[in-house]
Amino acid sequence: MRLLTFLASLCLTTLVLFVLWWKQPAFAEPQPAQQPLVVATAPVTLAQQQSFRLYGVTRARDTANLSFTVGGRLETRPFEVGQQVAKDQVLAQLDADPFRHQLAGLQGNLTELNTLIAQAERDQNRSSDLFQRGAATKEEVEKVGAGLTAQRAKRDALQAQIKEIRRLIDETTLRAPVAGVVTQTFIEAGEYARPGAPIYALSGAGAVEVAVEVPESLLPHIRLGMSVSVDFPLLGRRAEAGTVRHLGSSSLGPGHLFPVHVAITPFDGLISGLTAEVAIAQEDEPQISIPVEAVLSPSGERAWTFVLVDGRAKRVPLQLLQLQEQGVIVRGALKHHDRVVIGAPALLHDGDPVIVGQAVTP
Amino acid sequence: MKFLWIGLERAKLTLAAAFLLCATGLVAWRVMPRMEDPRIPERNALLITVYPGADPEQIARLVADPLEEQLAEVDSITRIESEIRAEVVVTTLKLRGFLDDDQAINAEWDEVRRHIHRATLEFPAGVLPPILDTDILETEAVLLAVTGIDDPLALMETAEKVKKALLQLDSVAAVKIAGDPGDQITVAFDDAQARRLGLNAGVLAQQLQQRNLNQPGGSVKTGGLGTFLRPRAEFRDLEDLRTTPIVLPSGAAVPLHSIARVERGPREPIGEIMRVNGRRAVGLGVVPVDNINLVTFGNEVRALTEDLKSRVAPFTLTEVTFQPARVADRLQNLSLSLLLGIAVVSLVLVSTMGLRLGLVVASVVPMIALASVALFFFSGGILHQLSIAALVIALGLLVDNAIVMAESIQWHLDHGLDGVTAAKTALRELALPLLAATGTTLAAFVPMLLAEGDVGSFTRDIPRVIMITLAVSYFFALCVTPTLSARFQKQLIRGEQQQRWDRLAAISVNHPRKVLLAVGLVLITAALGATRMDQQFFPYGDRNQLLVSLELPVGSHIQTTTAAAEQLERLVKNDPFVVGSATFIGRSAPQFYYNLPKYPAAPHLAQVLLTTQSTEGLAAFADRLRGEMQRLVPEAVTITRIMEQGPPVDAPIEIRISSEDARVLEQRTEAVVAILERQQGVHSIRHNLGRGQPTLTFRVNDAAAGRGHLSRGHVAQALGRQTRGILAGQFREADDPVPILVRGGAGEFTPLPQLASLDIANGAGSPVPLQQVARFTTEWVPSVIHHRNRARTVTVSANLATGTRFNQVIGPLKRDLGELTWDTLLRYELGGAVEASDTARGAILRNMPTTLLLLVFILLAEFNRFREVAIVMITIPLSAIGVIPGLLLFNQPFGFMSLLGVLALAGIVVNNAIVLIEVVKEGRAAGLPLPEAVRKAVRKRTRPILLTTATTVAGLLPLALSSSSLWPPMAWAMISGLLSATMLTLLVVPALYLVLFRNASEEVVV
Repeated sequence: MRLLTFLASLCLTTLVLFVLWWKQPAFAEPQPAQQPLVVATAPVTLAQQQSFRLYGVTRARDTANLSFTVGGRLETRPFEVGQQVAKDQVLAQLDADPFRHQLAGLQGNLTELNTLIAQAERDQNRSSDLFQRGAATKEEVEKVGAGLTAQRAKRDALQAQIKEIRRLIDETTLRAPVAGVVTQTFIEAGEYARPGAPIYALSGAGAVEVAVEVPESLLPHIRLGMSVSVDFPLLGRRAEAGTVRHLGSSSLGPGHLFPVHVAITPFDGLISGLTAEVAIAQEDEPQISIPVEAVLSPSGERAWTFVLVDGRAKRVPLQLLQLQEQGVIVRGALKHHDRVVIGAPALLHDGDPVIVGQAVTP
Repeated sequence: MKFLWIGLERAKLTLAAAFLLCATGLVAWRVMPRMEDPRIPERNALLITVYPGADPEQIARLVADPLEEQLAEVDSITRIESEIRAEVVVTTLKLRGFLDDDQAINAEWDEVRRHIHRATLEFPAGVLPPILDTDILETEAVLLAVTGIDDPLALMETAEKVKKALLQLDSVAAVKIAGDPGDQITVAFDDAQARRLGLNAGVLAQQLQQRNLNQPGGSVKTGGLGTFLRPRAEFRDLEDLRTTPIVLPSGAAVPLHSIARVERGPREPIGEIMRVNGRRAVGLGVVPVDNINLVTFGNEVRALTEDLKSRVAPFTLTEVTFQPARVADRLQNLSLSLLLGIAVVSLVLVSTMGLRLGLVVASVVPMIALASVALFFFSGGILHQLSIAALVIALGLLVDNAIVMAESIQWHLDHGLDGVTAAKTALRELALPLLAATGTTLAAFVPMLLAEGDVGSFTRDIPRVIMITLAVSYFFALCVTPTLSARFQKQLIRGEQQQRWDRLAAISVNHPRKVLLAVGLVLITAALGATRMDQQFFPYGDRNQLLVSLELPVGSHIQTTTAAAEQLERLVKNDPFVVGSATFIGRSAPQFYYNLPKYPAAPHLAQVLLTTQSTEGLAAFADRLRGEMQRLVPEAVTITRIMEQGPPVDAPIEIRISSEDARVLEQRTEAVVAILERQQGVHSIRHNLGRGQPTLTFRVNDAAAGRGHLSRGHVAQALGRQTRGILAGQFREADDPVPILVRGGAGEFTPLPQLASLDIANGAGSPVPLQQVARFTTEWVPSVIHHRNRARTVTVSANLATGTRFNQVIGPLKRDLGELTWDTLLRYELGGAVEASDTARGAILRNMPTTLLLLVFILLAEFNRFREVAIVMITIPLSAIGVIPGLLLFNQPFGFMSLLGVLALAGIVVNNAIVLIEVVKEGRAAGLPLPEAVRKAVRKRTRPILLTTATTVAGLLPLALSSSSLWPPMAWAMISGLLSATMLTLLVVPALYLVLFRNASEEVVV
């Protein structure tokens, strides 16, 4: 019976405890949790000016293709690509012998002519004496005089020819018009050089500029005299300032772009032929940019972000303009230096109080 | 009936057979496969389809839709869920629960494969073949990590060696690598230089490809042998590749290394990263073969790793998780419970029945247990926590038949019969009633046995073991107990103890209606109380582990995720509570526990497995950690997960919203999040809508492109080459072929302005800047799209605060959700724990009618009268009266395990009513008036009823008091339910009998 009493009292106690418990509300009625959420924020920044990069090579502003005005066999061509040359230094020599031979012939003719002229002068003196003495007719005197004039004219022509040959001989020597670097050679010694055919390409040692080709879509953004930045990726990304010096007004045909020349201030190591990147900034109105993590656009149809206003998150609709390296350029009710919530928690609503935590986003 | 006496007449043979069976049981116990939990059949699969370069909307349209359409045609698939992200769609498939054996399931997966193949025919070009993973529940019982040097490739090389060694073990089925960095040779050319030299990735790749051929050179006959000609047409080593000459357009040739950086490194983009205690690691998940003794497996693996440790220096090989130790520990604890149970039951028997009688009954307890183990072994059973616990539960039940039999024999002995005659008489009397009583108990376990799905597979061994044990106990009661009793029991001179129960009988006999009314009231109170019951479907596991998931917005770069994970690592590094940490970035943690959901290829996800000093304070630690992480990494959702028992559940609270209109879905998600935010007791609210992903769209001007001899394809190729690279063949001198990729110098990190002015080589070889032929615009596209059974769905989920159970939140949540307007185009359903518990409860309760029918059938066979059957059936709800206060008193939730306990109770409590009514009928047949018959029945039967109840409670006590989280709710539900039901049965059955049969008191009972 004791067991029965024990069991009965156990049941009773359990029941009493249960009823007591049951009278207590199971748990407090749900109340809206207005505890501030911890969020990470980032500032609204002014968008970097949008820029586009063009690739080109440096080249000397003074460049020349050097050639002979006369044709002939190239006797010497002592310089190779890359060699420096001084002004007036002899760069090449044509075989001048044909001209010299011509000169020698002409000089022989001249000597012969001079002898003939001397003879004719003597003849004239003699015929003048004879005429005064009445031994010769006036006609004979005039005949002798005319002969002399003709000989002299012949001599003048011959002398001019000699002078020209001498000039041509001089032309068989190619001299550097400016100091510079040989950038190309075209004909080897021993070959026949036609008049006007280039022997050397020479870059002047003076100012160097960057030549780039610009797609037509970007042409409207480029003005003469505008400042640009020039990077040299193979010189450890050295950056220099430059100015647009020349804007090509027409492209060179299909598949080609518009030539643009950018002048740069010289520095040590600046030579022709370097790879250069020209960054041309688009001069737009100042725009604002926010990190991509701050943009919410789950369905891709509309976008918004949360901006921090007085410790609360305010929802701001956005128009997304242009993705940049550090963020996205947006249009919306945001100001420079505003702080936007990045990686907004799923339960963030317009007007929710928030606390600013850290962000891991690098 | 003479066949019943065979056992008795051949006593020696009977006892020898019983001992033989016990010995077999003992051997079986030693050699049986051991696991921590039962194996759940692979009804789930993951299907991964990659479509390089496509955004989620494209994939949804071109890949996911045809795939899901085909899969929907497979009848056995019940759920198709797709997560569509940039370039990949991960589809989760679930087969219907009725498929249970591996063979049928594999046949279904083959069918699924055929449909997948059909879907691939509709895919656009460029979609990689889908990969179906049907081993997602395969537990990686041991997780090892290789650390020491932070070079991922070197770690990987060592991990490969360890893997090779592990695979030599017979007990190892597979070794899965975690944090595999992949391997690639990158030829990163300098953009500026390449431009100057007139080279690009395409030209470079082509040249390399032509120098790296693997073509057979044929063979020639030399003498009697064939000699193979092997042209060395491929790169021998990295140096060979580095120095290979590249011919420039000018005709000059330069070595590759002078224009490009050539290096072997991790695959790009990085797929997954593993770290152990903050250092880079490569993990090895060791999967044991099926149905194996995990403890032996653990010993083998541990011996091998100990041996390997010295051989992998300077690398270190560490154990991250080691399940075998837990298995050994858990099984040992449960085995101890089993021994303790046997001892307690024996003690109760001896103390209540007297030494001789008590010992006779108690002696069969271990015998039946061992014999059941033997039969369980022969039926392919495996020792795990459920099967052993089932044996403990069965202890209290198996003794009932023996008690009744021994008591009856004793009664006949006391009444002057000799041993054998007493046994024979008792056998004749009890063979059928005991069969009925055993039958009703068995019937109560039928729903559990027939339950389908993961829950069914998980719990099936409980009814299996209990039913085997009960059947064995019946046969022991018929054969062994009479034999023992006939030999060892002696005539006892016992006072009429039954007199002491007269006062109990008087209550019901004198005031039957009052008793019924009081009990009815208590029953209603209990039913009301049930609605207030804490519900937690499956309890927390008891591991000293915490799995922390960091979910960044979908679309986040793996570097950002890594930075977030590093924050967490720093946070716990100096915390004395944390023993170690293992971090998995870009994927979920390996399956070191059986029910972890698997997320492959997820760059926005990091999971950190923290091993703590103890399980105590784990929940508080998790709360603190979440708070800290919210402060440190607000943009990530931090989810802490204490290992739970039962089938995998993503989050306890899940609301799935479906609509085809992306914008409607977006707005409704916000509304639902706002509702969830108002609920108390929830945290880590999140949704999988995604926040959108920036996309640069390049629109090619075909006219401009045409003028530059370019096509759209050139533009796409140029962009791809610059960032990801172009495949220039494979390097075949390593263990696995390594892809050679040629790409721009900066690869994935190419600055946007540089990308815009990227040179595109046209057919003529002259480069055209991208801007000449294409304009690009910034767009935001969905970063992720979810489909559930082909409907576009967003899931809003939340976790429960420590101490909150899901039913506390669900009610108010449902009410608030109901206030929004829903229709067929915009609908919601609750998932998470609600769905899981509904499914599980449904799996069990679906078979309840079968049980009730079986019970009624057995009872009708026994009583042949509906009124008596009704009286017996009415006792079933009585157990509920005790269950609820009992669970409350011992602070246990009402979950699945308690439900199982209540179901089991049904079969036990009816036995009390049966034996009571049997005696009433007996009395009436002897001509006693009804009240006297009832009084006599109470007097005669109270002691045995209390005795069987006491033994059952005693058998359950070790489980109720165990440290496991799984068993106390079940054990306490059964103990309290049984106590109350027993007490109330003794009051209600006589009262009901009196009320129902008062008018029929003149009937003659047969």
